[in-house]
Amino acid sequence: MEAENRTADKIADIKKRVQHMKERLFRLSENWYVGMLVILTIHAVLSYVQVDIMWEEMGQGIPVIQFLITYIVLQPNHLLFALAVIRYLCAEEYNIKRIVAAFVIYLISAHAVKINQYDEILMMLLLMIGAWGISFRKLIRVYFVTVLIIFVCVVAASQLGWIEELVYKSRGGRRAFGFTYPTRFASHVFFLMLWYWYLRDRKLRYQEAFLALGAGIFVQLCSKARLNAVMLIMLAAVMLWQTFSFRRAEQRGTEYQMNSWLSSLLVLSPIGASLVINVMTVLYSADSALWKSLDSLMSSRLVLTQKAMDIYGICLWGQEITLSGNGGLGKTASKYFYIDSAWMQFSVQYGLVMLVILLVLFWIVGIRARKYGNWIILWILALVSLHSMIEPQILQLQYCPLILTVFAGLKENEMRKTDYEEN
Amino acid sequence: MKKIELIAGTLGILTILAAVFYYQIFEVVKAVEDPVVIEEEGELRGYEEPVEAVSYLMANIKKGDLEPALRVCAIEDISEYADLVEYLSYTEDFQGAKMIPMVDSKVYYEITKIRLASDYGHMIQKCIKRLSQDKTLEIKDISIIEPENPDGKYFQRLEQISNILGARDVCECTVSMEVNGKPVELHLSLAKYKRFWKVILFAPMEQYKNEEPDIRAVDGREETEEDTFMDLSSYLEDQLPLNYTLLNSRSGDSATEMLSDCWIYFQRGDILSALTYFDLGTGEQGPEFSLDFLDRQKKAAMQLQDFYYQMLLCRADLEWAKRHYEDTPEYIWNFLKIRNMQYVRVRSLEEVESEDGYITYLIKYSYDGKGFSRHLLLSNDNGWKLAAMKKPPKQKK
Repeated sequence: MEAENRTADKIADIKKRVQHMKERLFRLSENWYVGMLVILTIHAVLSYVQVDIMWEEMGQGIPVIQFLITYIVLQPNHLLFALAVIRYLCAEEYNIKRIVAAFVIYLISAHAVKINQYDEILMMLLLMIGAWGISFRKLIRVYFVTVLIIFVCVVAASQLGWIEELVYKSRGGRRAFGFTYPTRFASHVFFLMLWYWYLRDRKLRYQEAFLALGAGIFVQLCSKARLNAVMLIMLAAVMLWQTFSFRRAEQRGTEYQMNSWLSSLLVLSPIGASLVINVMTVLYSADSALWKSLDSLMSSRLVLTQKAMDIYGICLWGQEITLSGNGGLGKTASKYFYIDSAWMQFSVQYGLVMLVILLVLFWIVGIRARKYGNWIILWILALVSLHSMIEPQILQLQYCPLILTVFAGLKENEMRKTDYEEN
Repeated sequence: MKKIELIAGTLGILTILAAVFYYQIFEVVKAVEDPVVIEEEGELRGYEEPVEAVSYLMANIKKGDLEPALRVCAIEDISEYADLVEYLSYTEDFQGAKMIPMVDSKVYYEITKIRLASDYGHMIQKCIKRLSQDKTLEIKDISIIEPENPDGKYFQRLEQISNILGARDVCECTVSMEVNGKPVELHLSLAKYKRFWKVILFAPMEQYKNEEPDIRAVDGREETEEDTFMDLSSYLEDQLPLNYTLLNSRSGDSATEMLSDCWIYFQRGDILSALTYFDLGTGEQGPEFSLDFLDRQKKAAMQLQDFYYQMLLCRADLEWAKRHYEDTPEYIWNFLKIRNMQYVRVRSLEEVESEDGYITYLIKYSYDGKGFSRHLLLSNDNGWKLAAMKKPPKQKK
């Protein structure tokens, strides 16, 4: 009897130790994840800065550094995969649905990337899968500070003459403020404003909405980035209205609830935006004056995307298409071929399977945001979806880690389920 | 509400897919399904000994039969495996569209294949004319030429040539024969691709630029009673796989629509689909083999090669390239990549001349910041075809 008790104690002790190890590993993996997110964000932001950083040549002669740069910065997918596996294995609760969903998403996107060669989709999706159990607010706090510091440094360096500031002659002069293209600078302003709003949440004051308005006017005056200017002005209006709605609910002593029709509209905005730009591209006809003027307003985006569809066609798993834009040149490229719309990039370059998966994922972002009453995320989703009809940033880490919300925690209550520290 | 949202979202995604599929199925120009004549492959795929390959060639030359003789030439193999970078680092001589492209892409493969078929066809035709047409030809001997004591340089040279051709091995052969009782020699070069030997030159390898077959009258040798002739008649029963292109023909209902489709083919690099629209004088029964037909195909293919080269090489510094073949032999190759065609933009298409059954269009397009133009001559015979693609004559100032 005593021997049996001793064995049971031993087993309990081992179980406790294993549990303790899992807890420590889970916490460690969260720090590891945040570290990876910071490093990858720095790498991504710097890739659009007017400085040549030879990552491949860094640490030459020092194998350890070269190894770290290769597997953390340049080819991070192996490490991100390992990280995701550790997080799922060490989680306190096993959510089979999520595990299966994550595995299926990984398998499909890995297969697509094998064919279309766009590693960055896999990186973003692995970051998304690995974000399970980490507070999205915490991630955005770290992310926002990282991007803001680099952004401020780049702009300052460009104004101090430490790095080149490209000024494009078109539209009477467009300044890039140290970035490789004016819209890349302007998009940073837009996305930083979005994340700023998210972090400020209900604490946002009315005056702060005018920051977005001012930023919109600034990017239009200095960079002539029309879309970002319009989006920033729209953001300012939404910020004002939403802050007003929050305040009104607060005064009534009730929890703010968005009108169900409006929330549904916002939840479906990625699908709606993708539908509009896909249909516009398909229907575009060079013979029609109306379409021609619309295309001209959109800086030839319709004609170029349709041309890509004509030459390369649409594939289930996507295809590698070399895009060449004006970025980094300081002038209009003599060889120009660019699919700007993120939704059209998904259709033409990433393939129809990835298009559907990404649309469903962004749909889930909206559904989760609404479920947890995270109305600002819902607005961000809608604004980014609109932005993506023209610009490609929705799945670029340097601008928009929104997709992480598919798995990352959106509500404190939810966090407690998986966060050992909270327990 | 959630139900409506689910239905709306699903419908939205399905509509996107429907729109994209609609465009892909009904609007995107399809590649021509059967642009070339396809023949069922027989059991014999080639000859594993060079002497056998030459014997097959000589048997058909003796018979005066050009078509089967052409099948032993390395048309497909050179088109697929010849390497421009190796060629330039060895010869340091780039002749633009005058030479076969030798660039690793489907477009240039097809152009090279069409060009080589005509070139080899002429070589064989010349051999037939000089050796067997209205003459008595007897083959005495077929032998592989090798120096008695080959040195390292010899093998190095062979290796270099193999690298250029992408072949496993190369060798030279001499055919000793009698034409109307007079001793004559024909020198040939062969290359081994996979397991099979194919004829690459109708001359020794050193004379790769020769446009005439190396047929030499042999002096100082008299016929003796001991001379025996080879019986190659068994080779006439062999059928090697079809290795050249015979283009099928297509025409457009409307001239501009046909041009628009062709332009997409040019940009895609779907050269065979584009060439089916060329007026090659194909009858209703489809293409029939003749040297004349191979020449017309070659002319069309060369027009396309010239069209591509003029544009894609417009920014290439060929003088600089000449001086740097050794250190950057891939310089020209990079310019010729057909993916660059996505940067081409049509500026205008205007009708400049119209005659009975013919229209000439002037197409203006730009690439890499430069403007280009071509005269496109279209013929109409129960449908529009492309008769010629020419550079417009230079206007005098």
